[in-house]
Amino acid sequence: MVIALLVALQMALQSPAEADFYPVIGVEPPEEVVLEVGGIALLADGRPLVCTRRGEVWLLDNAYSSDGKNVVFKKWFEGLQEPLGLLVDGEWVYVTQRGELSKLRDADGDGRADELVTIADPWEISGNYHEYCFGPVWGPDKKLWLTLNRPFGEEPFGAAAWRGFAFSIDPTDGKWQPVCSGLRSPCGVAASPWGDVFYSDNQGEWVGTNKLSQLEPGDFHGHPWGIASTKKPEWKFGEVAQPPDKTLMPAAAKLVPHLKLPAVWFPYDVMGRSAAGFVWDTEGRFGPHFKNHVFVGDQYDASVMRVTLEKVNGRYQGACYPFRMDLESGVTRVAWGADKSMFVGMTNRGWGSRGQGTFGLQRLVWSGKTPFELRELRAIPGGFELEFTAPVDAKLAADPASYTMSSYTYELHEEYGSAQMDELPLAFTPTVVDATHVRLSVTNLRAVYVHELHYAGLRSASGEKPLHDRAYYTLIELPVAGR
Amino acid sequence: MPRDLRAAVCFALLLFVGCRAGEAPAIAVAGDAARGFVALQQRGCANCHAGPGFVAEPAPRLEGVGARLTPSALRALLGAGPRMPECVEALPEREREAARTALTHFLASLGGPLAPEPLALDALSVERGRQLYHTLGCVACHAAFESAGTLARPLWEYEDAYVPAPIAAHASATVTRNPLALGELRTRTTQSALAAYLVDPLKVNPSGRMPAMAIGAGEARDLAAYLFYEDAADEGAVLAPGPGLLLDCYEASFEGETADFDALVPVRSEMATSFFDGLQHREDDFGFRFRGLLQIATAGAYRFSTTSDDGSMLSLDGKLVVDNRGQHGMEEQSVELHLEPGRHAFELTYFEHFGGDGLEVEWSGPGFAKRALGFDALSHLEVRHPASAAAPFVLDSAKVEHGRELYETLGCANCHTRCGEKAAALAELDPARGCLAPKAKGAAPRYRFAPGEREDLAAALRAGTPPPRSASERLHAELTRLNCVACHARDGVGGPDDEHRPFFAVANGLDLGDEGRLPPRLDRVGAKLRPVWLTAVLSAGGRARPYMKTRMPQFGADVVAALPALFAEADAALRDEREPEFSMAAVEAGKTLVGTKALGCIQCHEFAGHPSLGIPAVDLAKVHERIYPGWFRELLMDPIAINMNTRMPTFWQNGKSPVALFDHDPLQQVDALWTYLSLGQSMPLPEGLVPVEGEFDVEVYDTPVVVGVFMEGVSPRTLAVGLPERVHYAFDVQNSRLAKAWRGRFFNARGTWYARAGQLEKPAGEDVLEFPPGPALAMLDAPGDPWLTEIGHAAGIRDLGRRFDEARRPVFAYSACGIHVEETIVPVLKAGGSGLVRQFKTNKEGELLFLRAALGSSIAKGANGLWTIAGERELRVRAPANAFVVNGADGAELRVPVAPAEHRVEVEYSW
Repeated sequence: MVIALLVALQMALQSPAEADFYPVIGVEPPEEVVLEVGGIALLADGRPLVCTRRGEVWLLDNAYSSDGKNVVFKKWFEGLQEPLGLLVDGEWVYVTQRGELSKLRDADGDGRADELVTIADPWEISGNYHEYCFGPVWGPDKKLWLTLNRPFGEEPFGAAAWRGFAFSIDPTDGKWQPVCSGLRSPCGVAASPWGDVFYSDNQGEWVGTNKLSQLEPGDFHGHPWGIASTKKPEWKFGEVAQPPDKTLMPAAAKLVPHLKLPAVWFPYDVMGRSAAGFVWDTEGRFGPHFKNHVFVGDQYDASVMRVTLEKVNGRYQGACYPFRMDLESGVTRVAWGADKSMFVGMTNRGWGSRGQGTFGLQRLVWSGKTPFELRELRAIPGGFELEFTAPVDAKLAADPASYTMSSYTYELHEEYGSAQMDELPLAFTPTVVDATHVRLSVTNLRAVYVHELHYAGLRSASGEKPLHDRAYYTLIELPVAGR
Repeated sequence: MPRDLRAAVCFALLLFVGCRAGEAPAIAVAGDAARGFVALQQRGCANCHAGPGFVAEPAPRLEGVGARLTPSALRALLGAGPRMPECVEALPEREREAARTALTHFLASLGGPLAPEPLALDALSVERGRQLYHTLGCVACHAAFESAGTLARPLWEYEDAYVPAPIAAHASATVTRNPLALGELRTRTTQSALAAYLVDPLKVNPSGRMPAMAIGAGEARDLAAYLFYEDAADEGAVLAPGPGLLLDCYEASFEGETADFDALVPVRSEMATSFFDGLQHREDDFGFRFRGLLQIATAGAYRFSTTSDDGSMLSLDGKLVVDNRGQHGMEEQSVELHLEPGRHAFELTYFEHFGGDGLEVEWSGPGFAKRALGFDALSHLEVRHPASAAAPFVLDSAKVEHGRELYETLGCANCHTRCGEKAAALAELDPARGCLAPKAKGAAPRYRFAPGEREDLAAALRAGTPPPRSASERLHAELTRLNCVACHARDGVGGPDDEHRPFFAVANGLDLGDEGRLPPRLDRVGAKLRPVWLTAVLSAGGRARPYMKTRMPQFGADVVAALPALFAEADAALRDEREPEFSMAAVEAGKTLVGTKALGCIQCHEFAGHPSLGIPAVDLAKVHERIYPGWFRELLMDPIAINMNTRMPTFWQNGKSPVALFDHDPLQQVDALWTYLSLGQSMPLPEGLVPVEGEFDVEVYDTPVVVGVFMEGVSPRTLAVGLPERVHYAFDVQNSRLAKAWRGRFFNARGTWYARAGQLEKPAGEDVLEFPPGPALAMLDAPGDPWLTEIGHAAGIRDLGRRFDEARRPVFAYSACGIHVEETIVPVLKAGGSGLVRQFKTNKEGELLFLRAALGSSIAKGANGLWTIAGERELRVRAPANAFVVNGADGAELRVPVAPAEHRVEVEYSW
């Protein structure tokens, strides 16, 4: 009832439009359960397992109750060290802990896990709180990939190796291989439906703003914290050098060997402040209009954002869009439920969030109504193509005054976060292609720049305002005609 | 100030029993040998004259005396007193004045001279000191400044200036029993020197005449503030509110959630009229403490808030109001409370660790909306008294040197520095000569004997040895000498009199009757308390009754060393040490009896640190270690008979227990209770107990609890495992080793579960057993080889995981040099508390794989595979027959082969 009222209140006061299309259902844990969500995964029968920052794994019965009530929480396992990811594989459940990759199972079938096998623990931890471990996900090599945070502050047991790396680990024999370096705070890691692994990183030193990047063996993602470990024999991709401080990203892309540029930058504060877990919707659970889009949680913002990706000149890039604000607490994890709803796992402990709850689990569902939205912003030679979820008002769509555009980039530097650098307003000409497609010819496209689009003046053919009116395309590669 | 107090070179206030020498009858003809022997001890005769069985009370130590006492006080103390001779009288009269001056310069040079300092009095500190002074036990020997009845009203409730009638009037009125006046402090020492002294008076005067009152530095500062406040009030000083707040500024590493300013010394103190703007501070790691008074005009609800980066705390009238602790940005916390008109003690603390900083204080109240708390409502206590015009004392190096020589030649050093060079033995002394001669000559010290004392001493010398006395007589002599009788009664002697009884109080206004506030009677105490606990109470601060405001003074281990044995001897006939037979059935029965469905002991008694359901009577987990079984039996069978004042009920009706166990037999039930209590901290929790679970306290009920933590001294990959048997352990997963075990409370996970966490956790229990450092198992080339210095992977150890057994206890799996090991840590309950058994299961034989089971300074072998390991704590280990000792670089090691042909090994630990 309370949650229903809250939902109603949110609809009435805060963001009625979003909630009309994507209402939330709170999943209420009993009072004694501190559900600071670190990972969510479904058992074969559809029941979710949820691991928490306190080291417990909960098995939820009746998790899909329509009002979120009468969900039964059973403690499935305990004693894990800040587990931040779960992955189900048959009878085994993989879990990342600070110091190891492990797998759990309920060997005697009594509804509680009773066995933990340590698969590998090759990286070190210093006792610093910020040394988190995220994942695992299946990598393109059919091994388990995970990401390791750099420390922040004191290291009571001494400095540790391999911080800021992504690892690939063979779950059958524990053989391991560091695959990427230069990560900062890689809170989200997920595999795309076609098998590539992506991760999200958090703004800070050497990370100008939050980003979503592909992880490929040999990458250097820009943060030099752990580069000393690239001298170790296990690192097979050549020693990484200290990147030059205070370099604009387009220049850094040329200067720094193996520097991996992001697929999507999330401009700070307007697209969240701390990008977290993300997931692809390959089934159109949020409506056929968003099929194959990526949904990215943000911890500070207590929101879920939307991302579209495309491959241009052989590498991923794309755009991000607001999707759903006003969740209960800081969103760390998103995962699909068995019923097409999205489990949104939350905790804001230690960082705070726009949502005032301290932790929790909510389900985000599609009401069945299709919002009038910019479905996708795509790069085309000489500009962008906009595809909408419904026919547009052709007159407004052809009017340049319906839009504004600008572009900017970031600086690679040691200082915490980067301002938007070298920002320019952009001139463009709109052309209506058909009922749902508009092309913008842009005169000054710049590679390795975010291209920000506002379209508040646009209306659907039936006069609806768009649900959201902005999008941010990270243009790394300029598409070339005929290719 | 009475002349006779100028005796020892120390504060007058540290003397209290010595004055009793002056109470001897004025006319004594033949002398009383018994009194003489007491005087021999108190005068410290054996400091110079050896005699079998004579102990001399040590004289005060003079190291640093110049930093404790003003030169004028030092000079005044050179005269004769009850223990001190007139020290310059051996010199010709014309040299005496110069000698006094020289000695004063010399003593002042020892750490001094003490410079005058301005009084630093704040309302809260003075008030706390006033309460402490009257309730700690000070007034058992020193005069009270007011009656117990007026204490309820805080000082700041008096109008205007702080010289309220009750205090001014009673200054001498209540001095009836033991007139150790504390007057003229300002001429004798300084507030900070007194505070430093009060923390541990035994350091200065090891005689125990001024005992340590178990107070911390903060409490000592409060006491000193109060005593100086009384002292200034005597002089006509007025303490009145002045503008602004007292501000102490600190610089320290403020890394924690809160800051303990009492443990820090301010770098600067000033008057503040702002909470932040304009106050000087370094960039990071600084703290402020504001103190003073808040004036409230209208009764009503007030809301106070602080907004700070990092933590802040606001207290009113000594109670925390706004708790804005922690490392954070500009965060606001607010609390609403009701306030009555008048002055309220105000204290605000704030600290900044690193990054941004700031502090704002706001309030709202009847008739006004939220706004900044202005300094128009704030004030502080200001001392207004005529400034004393004491000329600064300048050391004269020639006089210092002269004084140093006199200190040797006049014999001061014989008592105050060393007692090594003995004069003639006591037995050889002629009572008519030397210092006992009516007119002492030569180098003999000039004592000012009390009337009759000389005759008593002579009689004692003639008698040669003290008359044989029973243990009871000797005990009473000691109890009288140390003035234990001021607070404790035994055999109808002593205990607080009617005038003093009201000062003994119970904390927090609890109703525990006289038993909860008056110090316990000492009748039969040698049959009640085990010597180890008596020793702890007498000289290690042991306390079973934390709810009593009065504290047990600490006289120094040497001073009270004889007491436990005297009690034991005096009460030997009453003592019954027979323990009932230990059995698990008795433990179970005892657990049932303690619970709320049976006798309900936990209704009143605390339980292993958990509160009772009602009043906080003594903790059941500490009963067995303190008390003899016979006394427990007698108490339980008939509580009224053993202690007239007790509130402990009688459980039995017509010789039958209301509980069905053991066929309602009280005696068997009492023995079962005792068996259960014998587990101490590891008693399983009884039915009905509501454990205190502070935020993040982890409590263990009926299944084991496992929490992954960073642990101090272990590793950042540690599992804290709590067992229902209330024995817990830390297993280092990173290095596959059992690291620590402890009993009682499990641990508080705040460091792991609060905010960004990442703090190092530690056991909550008291008796933590540390297992040997380094790898627990090692493959050696030969059984006696040095233990490996590498650890973890480098030592060939790999964590393989764990499973839960049927009792949901973890079974750890790891590989040790290729041998698969499963280790289970199983609790065992036995008399004296729980222990642990480490069970090892291996998958193949490994002749040279060893467990380093224990490490100590020495290891002794007993019967049946039981080894005793000496070290920081005594540990007993039961190991298989093939265990052996190796004396290595770290000490004596007990090693056990862990991979025998039968693949199973058990090692049991009790401590």
